[in-house]
Amino acid sequence: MKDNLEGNEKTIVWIANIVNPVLAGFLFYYMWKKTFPNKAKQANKISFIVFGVEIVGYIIYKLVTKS
Amino acid sequence: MVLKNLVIKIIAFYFIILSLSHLLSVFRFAWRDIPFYYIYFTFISDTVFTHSMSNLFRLFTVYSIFLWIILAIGLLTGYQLLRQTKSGLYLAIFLQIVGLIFIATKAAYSPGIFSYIMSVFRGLVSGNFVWMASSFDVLFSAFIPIYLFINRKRFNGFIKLGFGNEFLNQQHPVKQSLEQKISGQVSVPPEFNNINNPSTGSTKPIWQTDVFIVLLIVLFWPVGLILMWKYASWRKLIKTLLTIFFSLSVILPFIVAISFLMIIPKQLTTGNSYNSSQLNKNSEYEKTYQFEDLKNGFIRVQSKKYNGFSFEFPDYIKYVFPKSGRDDQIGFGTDESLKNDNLDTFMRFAIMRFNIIKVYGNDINDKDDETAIKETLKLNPELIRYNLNGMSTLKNKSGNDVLIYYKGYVYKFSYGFLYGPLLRPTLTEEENRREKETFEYMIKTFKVEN
Repeated sequence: MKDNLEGNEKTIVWIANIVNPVLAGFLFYYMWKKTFPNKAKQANKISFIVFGVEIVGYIIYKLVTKS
Repeated sequence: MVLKNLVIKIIAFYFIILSLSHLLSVFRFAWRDIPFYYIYFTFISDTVFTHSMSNLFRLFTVYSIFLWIILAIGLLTGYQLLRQTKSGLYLAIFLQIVGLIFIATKAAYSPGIFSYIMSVFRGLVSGNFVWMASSFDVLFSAFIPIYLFINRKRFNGFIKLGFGNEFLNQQHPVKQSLEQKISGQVSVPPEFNNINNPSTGSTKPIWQTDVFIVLLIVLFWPVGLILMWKYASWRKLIKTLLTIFFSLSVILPFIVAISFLMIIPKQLTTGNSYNSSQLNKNSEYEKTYQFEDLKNGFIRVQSKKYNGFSFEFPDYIKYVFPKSGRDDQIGFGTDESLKNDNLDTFMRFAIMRFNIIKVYGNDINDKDDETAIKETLKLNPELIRYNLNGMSTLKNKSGNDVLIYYKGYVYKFSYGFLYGPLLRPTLTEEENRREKETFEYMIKTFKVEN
């Protein structure tokens, strides 16, 4: 079996990470760490990307609204 | 085809979120613009800071019953959509129509396109579906049911997405290929398979897969935890830690809330109430409020800090500063009120019979003030709006509470009065009458000098 995120898995991982990157990232990474290290890395990468985007977005939002 | 599948999946999942948000918008009065996953914390922290048992009531009723039901309906809809069943299509269209009705009702409060765009953004960064989708829906939601309706025939022919076993078209080529796969005649591309169990490689229903369980833990942890214990093959330590974590998120705030409810009322009634003979003796609040005995049975309270607003109250009324709660609040009540409240542990804010609340700490202007009033009306549908002494006023339909937003100035804050005569039925008729008269007198004499 391929050790890569594909199809439905990828979609679900993205959705879960968009909703809560910290919790989802943690769960996916440690769930797959031993059995599917590539999947774990990919999910972890997604969670960091989403987290980064959200943080940057939040900062921009704060700057725009000056609050 | 892969791209098409992806688009369909995104629409289906978007629909799940959108459907939920439409129905959730009904309960926006209780939502308070807090990120989705802080929902419990919000209400319990509200309870901590306002000591209102009604928040606990809301928590148990609105969120424990309605929200879960709504979520269940929404998830069912999305699931049926993904399975491409007719029932999913009809349910989706029905929910969308319901949603559009709510959008129409919300249109009256529309704060403008920029606010919508910003709320989309805020929703994205905070994870608040209501913010996100209630703004998206105005812009995009109408297209989804139209798209689904126009493509209703093609809808039956979409390839299976790997969720469930139901097909509308019994002769669908994908079904045939699955049948062939089962009989070992052909190999089927990976995207036609259900998600496989990573540990065993055997095919499992979607809800039993690890990835879906994680998704549910993130989106809807009560069900997620149940599925985790039932189907996930994770270590018991992880399962236990997750269960404890989510359990504490509910239990701990309750313990804190109850602790606050037990402690703070005593502090308020024993340490922070003053009568007319103690005017301006409380240095802590000297910079905020100055009291002047008018020698005619009334006292004027003024605040230079807040643009020199002032109002008068009878000298038999005590004034109270809360040690906790919102900044710079001042409350008023009779001796009997305070005594009664001392006995009533959960009526902490009932002491604050007449609150002047600093509503906003940020720069606001008339337009923002107007928006704040509209927002308050949206959050509290039981309020009605009317004018009193030139002020924009919100009044509870039952006559329990009055909120006043003083309008027409460029401030860094706005004012709010709150009056709750029916909060404590322990008061005598005479007491209630005196307090009501006092409240009306305070409003009548309220003015801003600069």
